[in-house]
Amino acid sequence: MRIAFALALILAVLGPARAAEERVGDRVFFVRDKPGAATKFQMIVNAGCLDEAGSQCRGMAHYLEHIVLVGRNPEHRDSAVRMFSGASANGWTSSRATVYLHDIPAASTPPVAELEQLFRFYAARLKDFAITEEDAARERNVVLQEHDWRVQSNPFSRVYRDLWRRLLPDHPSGQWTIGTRDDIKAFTVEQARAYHQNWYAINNVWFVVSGDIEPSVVKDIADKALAGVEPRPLPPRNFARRPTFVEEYIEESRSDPLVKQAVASVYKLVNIAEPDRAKSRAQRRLLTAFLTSQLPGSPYDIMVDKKKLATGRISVGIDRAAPETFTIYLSASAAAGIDPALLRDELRAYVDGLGSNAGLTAASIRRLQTRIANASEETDEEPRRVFSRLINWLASRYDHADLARWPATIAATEPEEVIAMAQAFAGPGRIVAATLVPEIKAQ
Amino acid sequence: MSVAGVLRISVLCLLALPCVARAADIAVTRQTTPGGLSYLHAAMPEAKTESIQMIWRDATTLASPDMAFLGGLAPSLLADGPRGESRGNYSERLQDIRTGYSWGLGNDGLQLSIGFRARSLEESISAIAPMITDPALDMTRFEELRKNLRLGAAQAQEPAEAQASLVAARVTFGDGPVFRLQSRDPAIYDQATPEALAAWRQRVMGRDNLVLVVAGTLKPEMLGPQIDRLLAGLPQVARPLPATTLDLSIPGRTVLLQRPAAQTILLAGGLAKIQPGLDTQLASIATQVLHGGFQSRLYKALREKLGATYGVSGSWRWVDRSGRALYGIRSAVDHERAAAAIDALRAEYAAWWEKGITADELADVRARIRQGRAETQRSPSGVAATLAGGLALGLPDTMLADAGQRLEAITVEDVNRFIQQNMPKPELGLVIVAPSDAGLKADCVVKAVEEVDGCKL
Repeated sequence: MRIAFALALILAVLGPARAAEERVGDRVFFVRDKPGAATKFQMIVNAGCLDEAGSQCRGMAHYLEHIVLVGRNPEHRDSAVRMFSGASANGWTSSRATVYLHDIPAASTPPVAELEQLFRFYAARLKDFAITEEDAARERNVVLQEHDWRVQSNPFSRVYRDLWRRLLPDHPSGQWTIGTRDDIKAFTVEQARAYHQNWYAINNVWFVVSGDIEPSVVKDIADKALAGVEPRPLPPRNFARRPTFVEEYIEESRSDPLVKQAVASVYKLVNIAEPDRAKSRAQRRLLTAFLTSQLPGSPYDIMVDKKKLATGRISVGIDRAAPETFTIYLSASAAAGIDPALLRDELRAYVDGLGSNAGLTAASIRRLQTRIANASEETDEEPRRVFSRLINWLASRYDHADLARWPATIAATEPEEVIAMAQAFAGPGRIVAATLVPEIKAQ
Repeated sequence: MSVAGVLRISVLCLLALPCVARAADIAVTRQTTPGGLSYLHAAMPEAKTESIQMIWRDATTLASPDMAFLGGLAPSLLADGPRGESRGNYSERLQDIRTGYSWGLGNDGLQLSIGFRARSLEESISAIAPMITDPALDMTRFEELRKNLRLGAAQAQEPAEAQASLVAARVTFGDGPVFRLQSRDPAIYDQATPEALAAWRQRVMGRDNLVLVVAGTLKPEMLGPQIDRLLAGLPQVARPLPATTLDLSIPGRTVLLQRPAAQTILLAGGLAKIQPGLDTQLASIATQVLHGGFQSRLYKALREKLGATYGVSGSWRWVDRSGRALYGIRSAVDHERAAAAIDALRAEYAAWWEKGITADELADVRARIRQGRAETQRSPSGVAATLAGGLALGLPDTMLADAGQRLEAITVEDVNRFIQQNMPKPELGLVIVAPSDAGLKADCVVKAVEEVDGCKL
C-alpha cells in the first residue's frame, strides 16, 4: 500500500507522463519528430467489424478499407496506396477500428503539399468513395485470397476461429475481422456504402500526424481541409449489448492432416463488474504482464519449465468482449511425447486456479509495475514510439484523456486488486477447451 | 524463414539501405580495448540505449552438414543463460535491469546482440558476461530441446508454401546432407549430441575470431574495460571452419507437387550473382521494382489486374561465400487464376530482365531506400547490426558512408546492366503446389517431394 502511494505521489509531483503528442484540432493530433524523419499520416476510423450490420462481424469493415485504398477517387486518380513517389501506404482493420496510413520520405522542404493532399483526400472519404463494379469484384477476390492465405491454409487458425465462435455464439466479438469465405463472396458495394454512411463521420475519426514540421502548419492544413465536413449522429454500438452468459464446459478434439505438433487451448468467458473502466484496464494489464512472463507461477514457468508439458511460447490473451464481459485464453504446443489432452486439462486447471496462484504476489506485481513504468519512460523518449502508442490507444477506442493518466493508474493499482481480477477470471464462466492433433492414418 | 536466412537477410537489407544525411551524424571509428580487442564504434550522442553486436565467424553448418542441428539448438541453449541460474529467473532478472539479448546462428557465424540503457552499462555487462563465458548448456534441457525442435521442424514443413521450398531445395541440391540442411529436415536433430555442441562452442567462440561493434552514446574509454570484462573468459584463439562451395543447379523447368492446398503456391527462381557491397544495392533496387510493394510491377500484374493474389514477394540469399545467391519470387494465388498468374509472372519478369527499369522507378525506389536507411539509423541496434553484418562479409569500416555515396550515384544503366549480367535469365525454374496440374503446363508432376529425384529436368 505504501509503495503504491509513494509511486502515485512521485508521478503526481512530476506530472503526467511526458506525452509528446499535441492536439492541434478537434480530431487531429501531432507528434513532433526529429529532422530527417519520415512524415507519418494516419486516419483512424473508430469502427471495425464489431460495428457491422445485424450485429454480425462478417468482414465488411475490412472490405471497405480495401476499396477505399484501391478505388479511383476524384482527389487522386490512381490507387491511394500510390499517392506519392517514394512513399508507402497501407491500411488495417480490427474489431474496433479501421486505420489508413501513409509514410512520406523526408525532403529538403516541409511536406506541406503532401499533407494538404492527404487531408483533402480523406476529408472527401468521410463523405463518399468511388469504386467501379469491376474493381470492387476484383478486390473482393483479393480479400478472399487474403482470407485463404491467413486462415484457410492454416489448420490452427481455422480451429481458433471456430473456438471463438463457440465461446461467444451470439456476439460479434466471437467472430474474426476478416470474415468467412462465404461472407466474403457475398459482399456488395451497397453494403460497404451503408457501413461507410454509418461510421465514416468526422466525429468518429482521428487524424494523427508525425514529422519534422511546425504544429501550426499541420493545424492550418487540417482546419482548411476538414472545414466543410459535418459531424453526423452515430448508430448504437453492437458492442454495448452483452452476450448471453451460460456457465458451461465445452470440450472438443479435432485432427488435421497438416498438424504434426499438437496444440491445446482453453478459452473462458466471464462476467466481471467494472465500476471504473480505467482501473479495471490497469488491473488486466498487470495480470496479462504476469501471464506472459516467465516469473514463478506464470503459465510458462508451470507448463514449460516445471511440468514440461508444453514447448515454446504460450499464447495468452485477455480481452474485453462486451461491457463487464471478458475473455481469457491460453494456447500452447504440446511437448514431444505429451498427450495434448493432458496439456488441455492442465491449462484449464491453471485458469481455474488463477485466484490462488502462489506466484501472483505483491512483490511480483510491484516488479511488473516498475517494468511498465520503465517502458512508458522509454516511449516518452522516442517520438516514433509516442506516435505508435497514440495510434494503438485511439484505435482501441480508449479516451485520450486516460492516456496521460495511464502511468499513474498503473502505479496506483494495488496488488490486491490484480489478485481480485485473477480470482474473477477463475470464477464461474463458459469454458471451451480443445485439442488439435495429427490425423491418424487408417492402416 | 530459417535462422540462417534471418541473419543473411538482415545484412542484405541493411546494407542495401545506404546512409545519406543521417550517416554524417554517426562517427564510426576503429577502437581497441585495454585488453587488446579491436572493435568498431559508432558514436550516436542522442541515443538512450547502447547496442553491442558480436559475430563469431564460422561456417560449420555449411562445411559439415551433420552439424546442421546447431542452427536450432545452439541459439536456444545459449539463450538459457549462465550456469547456476534457471533460464526463467535469468530472463526476468535481465528485464528488470532493462537489458535484452538474442542469439542467432547462420551459415556465416554465431551472432549475439545485446541492448541496454547506457546508464546501466556495468550492471548489464555483469549480467551478460557469464552467459557468454559460462553458459548452462544443461544436458537435460538439451534432450528436451532436441525432441521439441524435431517436432517443430516437422510441423514447419507441412504448409503448402513450405512444401514448395522443399521441392525447390530438392531440385537445386538433389538428395543428400545439403538438402537436409537447406530444408531443415527434422532428421538433422537425430544426429545432435551435447558433446558435439560443447566442442563446437569451444572451437568457435574465441577472441581472435570475433567481429565486434558497439553503437550508442557511451565513449570508447568507458566501453573498453567493460568489453574486456564481458569477454574475459573466452579463449584467445578460435578454430572456425572455413566456408565451402556447394554444388547446385537450377534448371529452368516447372515442377508441380500435387496435393491439397487452399491456394496454388508459386515459387519461381534462379541463381543470381551478388557480391557484398555495390551488388547488394543494385539487387535491392532492381528487385524492389519487380516485387517491392504496391508500386511494384508484379503487384500490379498479379493483384491489381488479375485479382489473383493478396501479395507477391521476393528475396535472395547467398548459397555460400562464392557470391552465388538463390533468388525466388513467391505468391499464393487463386486456383482458378493460377495459369493466368504464371503467364503474367513470366511476362513481367522477362520484360524486366530484357528492358530493365525506368528512371521514375529508380527515383521511387531510391527515395524509399534512403528513408529506410534513415529509419534504421535512428537506433543503435540497427546501426550496430548493419556494421557487424557488413564486417562479417568482409566490407570495410567505412561501409556506411561508402554505401550512401554509392546509392546517390547509381544510374538506370547501372541497374539494368546488373540485371542482365547478374540476375537469372527469364527461363526461371518454377515450383507449383496445387491440387491439380490441369492447365499449368508442368514439366514434371509429383505427389511427394522425394519423387522429384525421378523428374527429367
